[in-house]
Amino acid sequence: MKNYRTSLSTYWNKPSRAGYLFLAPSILVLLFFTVIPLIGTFALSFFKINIFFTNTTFTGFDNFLRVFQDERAVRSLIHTLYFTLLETPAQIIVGLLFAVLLSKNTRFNRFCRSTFYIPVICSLTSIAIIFSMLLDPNIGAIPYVLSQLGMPIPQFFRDPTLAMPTVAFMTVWKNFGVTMTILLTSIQGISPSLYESAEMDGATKKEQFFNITLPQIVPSLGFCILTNLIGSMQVFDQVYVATGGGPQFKTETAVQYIYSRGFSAPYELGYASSLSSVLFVLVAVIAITANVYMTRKERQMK
Amino acid sequence: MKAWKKILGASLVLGCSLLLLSACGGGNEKKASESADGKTKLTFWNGFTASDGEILQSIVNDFNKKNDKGITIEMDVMTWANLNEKLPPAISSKTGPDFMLLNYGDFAQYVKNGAVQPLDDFWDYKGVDKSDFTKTALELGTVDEQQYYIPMQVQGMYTYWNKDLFKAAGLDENKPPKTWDELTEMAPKLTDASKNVSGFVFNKDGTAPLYNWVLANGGKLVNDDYTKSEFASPETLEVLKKIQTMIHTDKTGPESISGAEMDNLMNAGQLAIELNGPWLNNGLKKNEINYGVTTIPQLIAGKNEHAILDGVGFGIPASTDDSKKEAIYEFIKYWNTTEIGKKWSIENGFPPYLKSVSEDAEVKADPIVSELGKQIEFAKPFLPGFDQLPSINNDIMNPLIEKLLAGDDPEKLMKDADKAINDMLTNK
Repeated sequence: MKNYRTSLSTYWNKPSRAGYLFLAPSILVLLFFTVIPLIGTFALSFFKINIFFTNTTFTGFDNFLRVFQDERAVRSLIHTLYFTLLETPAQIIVGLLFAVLLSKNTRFNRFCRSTFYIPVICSLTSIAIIFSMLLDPNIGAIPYVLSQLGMPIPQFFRDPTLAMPTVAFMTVWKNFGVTMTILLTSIQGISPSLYESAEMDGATKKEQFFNITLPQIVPSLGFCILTNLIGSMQVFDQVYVATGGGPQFKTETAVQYIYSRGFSAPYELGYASSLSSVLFVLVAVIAITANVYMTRKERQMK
Repeated sequence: MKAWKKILGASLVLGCSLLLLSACGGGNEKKASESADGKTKLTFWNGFTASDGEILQSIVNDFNKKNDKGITIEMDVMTWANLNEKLPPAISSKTGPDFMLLNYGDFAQYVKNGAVQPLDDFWDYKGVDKSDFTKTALELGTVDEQQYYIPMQVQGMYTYWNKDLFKAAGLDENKPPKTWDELTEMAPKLTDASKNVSGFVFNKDGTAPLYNWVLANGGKLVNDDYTKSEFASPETLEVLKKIQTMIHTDKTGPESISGAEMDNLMNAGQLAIELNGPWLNNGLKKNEINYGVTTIPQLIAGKNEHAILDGVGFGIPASTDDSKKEAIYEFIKYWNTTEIGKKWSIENGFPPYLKSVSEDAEVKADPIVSELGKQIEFAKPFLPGFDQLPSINNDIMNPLIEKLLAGDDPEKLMKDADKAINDMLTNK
């Protein structure tokens, strides 16, 4: 008996093992709400199945072949990439800019930081609704101000060329607070002695930024870019609410298309699943590539 | 001892999380339909989110109070788009409502996929008088000669015009466009960009006015057995060209605008003519717009009239237990009484479909309802039982309208749409 107790207690006394036990709830949640649906989605991709679960047939790889022949699917992927290329760099630059500007701990800066963070805690859906109202060419406040100033009134969400940049702008406005906060803590973590010695050597503010600040925050910057890339590839809420994929499908992103395939007529759940699987692989490839690149970059910096 | 505490703590966390997970699953279980005291609770989904929803709610509240069978109806109101997203998976996983309202256009695919029950036995339910329903209203809910939904309201597209804007443009305020040609002539005259006034707007999701116009012009969407597209025709092309001339060339209104945004314009007094359903009435009254409403334009006024009859009806999901059917029928019967039909028509501005309602003196005296009622005489359901219509509208027609309004070549658009419809019909 005694023997058993000691062996068990030494077993559990290893901090790593107790750690797993504490992680168990999260792992279970992940299993139920991520891993199992993921496998389920992949399995569904091989069936012709609608949301009523009637007339289900096994079709093998047909759905996947269809993805690459479906012009709208390919275009929705291109739109997603376009959004990502607009959103991610803008988000990083704006976030970095404000992080640098607000890095000194004054009362005014602290006020600005929390103000800029407010949109982050709002729901993307409500922000999209507010933006659609503000930008409405007939009843919106912004077109009204523009017209009072004698400027032309852009159609924003209704103009095929302007719609996607508008959506990206809205997303940056909502989310840059996160990037700003992460980069800010990272900047504040840099040892002041580095700046002191740089100043003694006569380095300008600009030189200090490029030779001290930037290299020091590379890991956080990498993290921000990576999470942003993954998030942008899955853009959905703002498009669904503000434009519904229009005008002329110009803002139809991958997830928006998956959604409209699966959850509105003709309710093709199987095809929507295979689109999801393709997107999953694509996001995984991009994320892993970016991660590998960034880890390498970090090592070079050190 | 310390180790045991750790294990205890960890297993507590684990246990709690498992409990939480199982609670999530358990929430979806159906509650017993009848409790011990003989009361029945019914869940009821519908898409009446606007002011008509308040009237619906008050009628349901009255029913909950008045009925002597202990029936309580709990409404869950969401947008129609949301309803159509949530309902199919809810029915397949048996977590759907006990009964719901469905739009005519969406409902054929529920029938085709066996998601709704046939309701022919409703006519045998005590106190129900089938002869009071007009034939076309019944046709709306019929697929393969079986009644799948019972009418709740019927509607079509109507012509609304702003009398003040007609006056301002020097047109007779009591002469709305009665033909499509009059509409295309009047629209540019009524447009005044300097005052932000649009003469006429074609909404990018406007399949209903498009089909009305195409039918009046002698065109068709698909052949009679729904196997082949007949969309490409000189008649259709003529309509497409006229729409494009009005919006894209004459610029009588914004090129890209949704139906809801179009209603906002009309309610703000910035739109002279609008084609839309009866739901517009309440908004116009509330915004004190000096307006008139009449039947939809025709090819030749008063001759060979065409109009699409649309509607909303009560349906019962396949997942609903038989024991609840009687209580549901009780409510549908209550809805289809003269008293409620009259209330819905007059308060909400909808045309009546019960004969007893349209013969009512008060209804006849109501200028809006009696005017809307005229269209019921010749309106017909559009492609009854055609389950591909929602897909055609979403994937082919709405994009076509958008591109048409933006100035793409109508003939190419029509031929592409024709091909796309044929592809869809052969691939099903």
